[in-house]
Amino acid sequence: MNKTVLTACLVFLTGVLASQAVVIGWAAESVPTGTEYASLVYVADGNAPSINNNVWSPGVESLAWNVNAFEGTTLFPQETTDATTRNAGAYYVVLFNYTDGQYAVSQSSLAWNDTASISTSEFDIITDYFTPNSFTGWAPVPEPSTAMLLVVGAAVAALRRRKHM
Amino acid sequence: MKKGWITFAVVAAAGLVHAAMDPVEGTNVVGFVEIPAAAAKNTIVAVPFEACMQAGVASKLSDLVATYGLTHASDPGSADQLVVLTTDATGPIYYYYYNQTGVGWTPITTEQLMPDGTKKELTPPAASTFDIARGQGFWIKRTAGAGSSVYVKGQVSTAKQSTTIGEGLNLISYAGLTAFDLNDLDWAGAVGANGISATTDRILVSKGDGTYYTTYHYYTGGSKTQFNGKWVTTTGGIALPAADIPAGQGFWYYRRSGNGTFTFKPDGE
Repeated sequence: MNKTVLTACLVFLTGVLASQAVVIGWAAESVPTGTEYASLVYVADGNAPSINNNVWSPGVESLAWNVNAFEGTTLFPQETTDATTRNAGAYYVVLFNYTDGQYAVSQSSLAWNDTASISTSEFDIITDYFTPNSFTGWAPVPEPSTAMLLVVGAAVAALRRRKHM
Repeated sequence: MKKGWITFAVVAAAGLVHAAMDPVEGTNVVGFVEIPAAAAKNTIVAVPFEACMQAGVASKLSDLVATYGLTHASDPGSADQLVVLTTDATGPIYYYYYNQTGVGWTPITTEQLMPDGTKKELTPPAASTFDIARGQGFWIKRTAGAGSSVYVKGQVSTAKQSTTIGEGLNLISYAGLTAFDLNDLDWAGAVGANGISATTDRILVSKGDGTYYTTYHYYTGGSKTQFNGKWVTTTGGIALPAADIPAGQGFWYYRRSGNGTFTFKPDGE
């Protein structure tokens, strides 16, 4: 059945969408060795997200986290609700290896208005799942304590250098 | 003769006549099912019955859905509505009916927005001529302040269900008279693929609260062998369905492209 035609029918059926919340269908394939959990994040500017000092880069919102429905290197299909109305941006899948304190980001993203993987109401059924199969290499997640030690260490080194001058 | 003796004689005669009659036996058993359908919500309904006095024949929409307890009005916008999925030359279409005061299910002429931006007028046939096959689903849209149930009625079938499922979205149900578990039914013909993949068939069951559906994926051939041949949920983790589906409640079956058509025979051959 043609999704576009059906969607037109269904949108017509409802007349007015009941809610601005959307449901995002997502999954993952070929996740790298060491993956323990997956997350879905929204990024306002559409650029790939990053983590600094345990904090997401600006404009990133985590919508689903600690998902571990894996079979081998595949993450089973997920359906996650985004309660915020979007008019720009994109969604990414982020993988975590907590054991080694690392994360990896999908190299493809899902546009905020994708009609196949994003449902806007119960009459608009997800027909495809956003399924990235390529990810960046593992990057370390610096812990705040580690970062703080680095800062303190740098300050001490600077003070010593000053005293020696 | 006194009145008491007359009464006794009448009752005794009736008893003798009753004893002489053979019990009425036949397959024309009429039944009804109460289906939860909350106010101000949309519910997928499926009638488990067939036409009265016509075994194996699809019934008519107006005969199957009782207007008892439903909201009626003189204008469509204020009344409960039925929405049936069918097809015409251009593809899938929806027909609308509303519970008109003093009349019952009445067609609503609507306009369908087409992908190219044009509008197509849709005029449904009378509800008394629209066939609803056993196991076929449709929507009921309840108005705010309406009751919480809808009743469907018809002849109880003695035959096993046989429902064709084509590629794409199918609005169907199990035509049983009691609540059921998806994994208790025969799903020969459903397609899974080495666990779950882009080609796996899906079932979407309405949560009944206007939010998105609970989605079940057909699992076959994966490493989690305990789920082989089962419908499972995958959000968060993989699990079997938790709740029964009420009798008369329908659901979407999403047959993935390339999987072809199959016949759903929930009770086996």
